[in-house]
Amino acid sequence: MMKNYCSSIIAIFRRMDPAYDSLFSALYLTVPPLLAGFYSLYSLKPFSIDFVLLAAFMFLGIQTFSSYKDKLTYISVFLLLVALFQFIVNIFIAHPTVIIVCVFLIALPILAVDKIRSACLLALTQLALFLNGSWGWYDALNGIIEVVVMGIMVISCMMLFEYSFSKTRMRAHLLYLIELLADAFNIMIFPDKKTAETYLVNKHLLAIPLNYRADFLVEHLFSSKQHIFLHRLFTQLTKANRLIVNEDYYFQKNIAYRNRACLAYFQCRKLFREITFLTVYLNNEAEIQKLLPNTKALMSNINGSFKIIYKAIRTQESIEATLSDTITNQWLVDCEKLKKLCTATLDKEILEFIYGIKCLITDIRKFEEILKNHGDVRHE
Amino acid sequence: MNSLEKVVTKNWQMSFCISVAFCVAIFFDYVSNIAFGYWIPMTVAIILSAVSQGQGAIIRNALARVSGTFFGVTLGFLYANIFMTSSYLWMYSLPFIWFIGYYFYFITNNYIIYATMIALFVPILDAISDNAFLLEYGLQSTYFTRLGFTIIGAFIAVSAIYIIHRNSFSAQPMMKAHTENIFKMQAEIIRLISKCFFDAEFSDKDLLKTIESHIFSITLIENIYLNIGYELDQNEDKELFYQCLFRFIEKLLSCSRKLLCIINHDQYSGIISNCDELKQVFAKLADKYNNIDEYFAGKTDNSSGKIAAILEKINPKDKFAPEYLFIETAREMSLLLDNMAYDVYNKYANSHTKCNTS
Repeated sequence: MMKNYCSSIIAIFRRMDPAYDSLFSALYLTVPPLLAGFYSLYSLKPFSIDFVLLAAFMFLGIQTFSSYKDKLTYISVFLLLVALFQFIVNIFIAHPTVIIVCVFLIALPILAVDKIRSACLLALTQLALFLNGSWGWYDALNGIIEVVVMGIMVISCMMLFEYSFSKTRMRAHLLYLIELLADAFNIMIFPDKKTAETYLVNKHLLAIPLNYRADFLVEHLFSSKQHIFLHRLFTQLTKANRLIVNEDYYFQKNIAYRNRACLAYFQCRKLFREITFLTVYLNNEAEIQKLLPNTKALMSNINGSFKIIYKAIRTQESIEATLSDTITNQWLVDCEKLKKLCTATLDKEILEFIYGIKCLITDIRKFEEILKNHGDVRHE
Repeated sequence: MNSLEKVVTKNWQMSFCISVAFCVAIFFDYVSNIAFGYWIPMTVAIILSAVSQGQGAIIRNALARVSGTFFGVTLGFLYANIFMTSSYLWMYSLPFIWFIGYYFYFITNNYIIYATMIALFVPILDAISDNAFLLEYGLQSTYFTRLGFTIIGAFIAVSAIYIIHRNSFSAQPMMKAHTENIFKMQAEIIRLISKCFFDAEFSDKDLLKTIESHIFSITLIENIYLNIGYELDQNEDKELFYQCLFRFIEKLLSCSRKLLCIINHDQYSGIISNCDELKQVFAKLADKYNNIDEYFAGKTDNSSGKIAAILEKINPKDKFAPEYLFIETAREMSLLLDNMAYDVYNKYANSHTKCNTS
């Protein structure tokens, strides 16, 4: 009973946030401000709200960058501006005209630069908070020291997060990608939603109302479930590309894991391209079945392969041959016969389907090889 | 004025507008001389932080911020009255509420949740940081002062982008520039794919770089599209044009994926047509995508017909060769462009002209 409740709750969260992106973003936005709050509460100084929000703003800003160089540049510019604004506000608090002129003259050239505009806007938000504070040389200096301490704290948290969660995040993205690939394959081959749902790896993916999640940007513009899934796959590939291929990792264990995950990721990209050929299947199902009677058995075999690959990465089980040689070889023999017999009457869509399936067979086998040879992609 | 000068001018105009809006907000803070007036410049800075996504995002943020602040102050008022008066230990639930709030914000990207969290937390943290604050004002009463200041701040931010260099905030030129980039990258992808298929010259690095740039631009215009509906000069024609554009891009991506799949598995074997003729077909297709603006302006050609003629000449027995699918996909891409260009020229001509001139 308890297990059922737990799995239902997990399923709800998996449906809302399948690659745990939002979970980690919220965690990154909570921990540094919390640490800053505790530091502020339990150090000798009085609790400072600026201190807490500074950490939150900084983490909000660095989310968009992939390389350490960009992140550190962003943090440096932000801290420099905050320290400068803190100093100006504390010293000239009794002379609003001076503050207004200074802020205008500093903000004008900085906001004109694309790369540091967002850092400057967040620093201006912080400046607004300083207007509520006290004044004097002592507070100005104190504020600047706080800003430096906060910078060190945020950089430490950034490293800590990378050390602790990067592998989990990469693995979650890879799993979601395979889950989507398997489900996209199902959507391409099953005519009705009900049958498709019984085969889905993550049954909740179809149930999500459109535009519910932040990453469903233009899906509502597409008319068929097939195109919606292809677009969802495209979005996930982009995200996984950022985290697995482009992201800069500092720790050796993460770099090593990334190198292994890349192999699986690029294989997923190939499978995605091949699944595109299958969009024509449902329109020509009867014809294909007539020409290649083993197609249904092969489809169900490929379907099972996706599940085995997914399970192998998820549960760290060792992988065996996922595709049945008998079924695939029989189907390929049928194809060769077809090639010799009746190509004059074959429709372009059927040819596309046959080509897609052939490539899919080759690449699923390669995927098996990758998981056998570089199986560490499965291990945490 | 060249495009770089245009970008620089636009950036200075935007910068001027934001700086003026923020300084006006500080001025209001001082003039009003009411406690927590700093909420006005803070609101202006937070709303205008969406500047990189265009005018629509700023207007959307302004609306969401006012409604989010309303929810935030209501929740904060209840929290302060129910929990904080009974035991200070309730304070320790704040990080958990913060976490849950931002978790749902990141899932839905709903700015109202973000604004609610700020409106809920800042006054509470203010009260925690300063005991004198509680004695002098009382936490509950300040919530509604802040709601008033949020409305003033949102008004200043929206007025500023409406009055000062309104066009520089429009996302339309940004959308146009990235859309052009998508087609230029598409042309480059076709060129590289053709080189790889016919000449076996494969630069993995070049192709990957081009594909990444292509994907980046697509993701960017999808993000811009979400907010463009809130722009001041948005109309139904433009909305229909964007919908058509995204459907077109999706079909184009499908074709590109097919071509990439073919070059991953096969190469030109020489059994269909002659290599030079096919290379010319692909060079023409790449040119077509490179100069898509001319086709949107009414230019037509017979390249789709030429590809169809090549396909007709193919011996039925050779149709199983990957070359056949390769050429078929090229024809599909050429036809896609022809149809899109026809639609743009005839149906969305007005909106497209407006897009171009803006």
